Amino acid sequence: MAGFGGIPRWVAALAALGALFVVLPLAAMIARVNWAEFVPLITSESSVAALLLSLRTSLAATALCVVFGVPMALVLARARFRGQKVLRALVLLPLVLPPVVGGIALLYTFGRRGLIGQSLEVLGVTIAFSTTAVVLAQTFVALPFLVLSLEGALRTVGTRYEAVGATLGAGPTTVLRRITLPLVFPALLSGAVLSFARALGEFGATLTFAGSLQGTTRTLPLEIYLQRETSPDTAVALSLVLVVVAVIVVGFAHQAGSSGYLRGGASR
Amino acid sequence: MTLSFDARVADRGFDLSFDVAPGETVAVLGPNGAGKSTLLNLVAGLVRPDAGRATLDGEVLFDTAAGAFAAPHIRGISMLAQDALLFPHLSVLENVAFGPRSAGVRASAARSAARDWLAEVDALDLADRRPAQLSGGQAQRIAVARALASEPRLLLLDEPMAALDVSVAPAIRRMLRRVLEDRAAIVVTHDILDAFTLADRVLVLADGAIVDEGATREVLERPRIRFTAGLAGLSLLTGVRTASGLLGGDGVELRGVAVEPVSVGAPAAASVRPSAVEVSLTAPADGTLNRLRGTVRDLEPRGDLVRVRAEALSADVTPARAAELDLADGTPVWFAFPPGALSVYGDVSTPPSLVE
Repeated sequence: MAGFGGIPRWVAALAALGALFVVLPLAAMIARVNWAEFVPLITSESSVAALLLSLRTSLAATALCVVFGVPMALVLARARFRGQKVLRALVLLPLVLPPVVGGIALLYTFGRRGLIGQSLEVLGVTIAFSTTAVVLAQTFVALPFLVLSLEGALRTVGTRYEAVGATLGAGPTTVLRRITLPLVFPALLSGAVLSFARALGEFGATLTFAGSLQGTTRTLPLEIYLQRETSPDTAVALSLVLVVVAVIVVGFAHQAGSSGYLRGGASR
Repeated sequence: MTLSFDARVADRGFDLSFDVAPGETVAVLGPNGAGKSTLLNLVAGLVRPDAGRATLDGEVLFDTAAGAFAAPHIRGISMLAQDALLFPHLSVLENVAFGPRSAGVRASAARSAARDWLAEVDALDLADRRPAQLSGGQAQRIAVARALASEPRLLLLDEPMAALDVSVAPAIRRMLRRVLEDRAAIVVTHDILDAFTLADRVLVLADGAIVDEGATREVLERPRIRFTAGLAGLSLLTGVRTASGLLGGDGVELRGVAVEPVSVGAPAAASVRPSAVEVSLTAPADGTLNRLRGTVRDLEPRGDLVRVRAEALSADVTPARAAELDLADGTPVWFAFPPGALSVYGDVSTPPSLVE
């Protein structure tokens, strides 16, 4: 026995049931994989096109999340202004919003007759139902993941190191570059990985705002949904690919989150 | 470098002004919440005052009337905190090189400067370590080197030894005495030894205001307020100067030695070291001694002695003596001490500058 456990048996039993509920569907899916045809199925022209499009758009969306999410997290964690709480709630809204609603909102913003889309149309730029639309939809739903994890990390490291840096003569940008960002780098990395995973799995907003054109807007989740009707074996094989990517991503994010200076030793 | 400082922060009840002369080290003493950290943060630029003006060598640090406020990084003032706060992601050498790098010095030149400063604090052998691999004393040495490497015009130290092991504090204190010798610095401390070792002058703060100030020895050896008397380990008595000593508020006249001239009849303060005071249950027979009645309020073991506290006086007795007298809270006792043990000087209403 390794010390006092203190967990009632019925709690352990419920926990086991819960774990089973997560694992069992995955196992059921893997049991249905047509291994003989697996490689041809995932390397068919439409599968490869969807996979490459997904990777490309998700990477682009992750880059946008970093470019805009880092400043947003900094402002939310460090600045103090009126309406800050409201702003934070709004920024995190895509987390709880049904993605299809996000897609509709994007459509009325960047669509041909949308708020901004109309002006863009005049300039000859069409966003809706293009690869750009996929990236925007993915960024919209993935951004809160990065902002949330980075804001928490910024609050945890606090401003003491930054204050020391300032009294040593470092200007705000130097402090950000040489102190703040290195200190929260593990959280930035895990936030970026989570955003990438969310972007990779994006379905509802993409379908609504970008449609499903092979090679242009049909990402892997859309391809899986489409294939489910005509070729269940392809759908299962591609699902497995997404599961493997997700497992790698979660493992990576966990690794990044548990290293670094936030856990212990930060006060020395 | 000359600092001139005057600031108010309303919600902390902070309102005071002082100057620091070139090369001078000023110790700031005071109970918790007196405003010591606020003072440092205002000087460093980490807190904005509601009103006031401060200049360093004539350059404005803040001037609320003119709406001016200099950001911390352009003030040339570095701060050393209780925790070393070394940047955990940088090596010791890069930590020390941080200041020069921020000032625009090239990496190689900054590193060579960092080595010089590490040598200055006897820590050159730690250059390649990570902060997590250092002991508290080592980390504080590096923090001193890092603060000095930015070549500040004024150095602020916020209880630099408070988080250190008693075994390493003396070495750090010696090192600080050396580096502060001809630098301008403000040291916040709770430790009277720090004040004696490092400071030319002390400010005593209470509730956001200066309640006592002057040369270190003068303030601590002739305390005029209870807080400094407590820090210096002296019992403070106040009353009126008489020809032979002091007439206390309770009507008892004590004989003492005037350590500075105070005219007879003027308010005066006097102090006595607890180790010079004897305790007995009955009135001491020796009429040449000062004798005072009191009621025991507290007994505090201090190593091989017990400090007996009453309202006005404290005495140090051996544990055997304390047991023999069966002392407890509320025991009525007599205190006795020779006239030579009582120093008499001007009280807090007498500005130190007028006492000659």
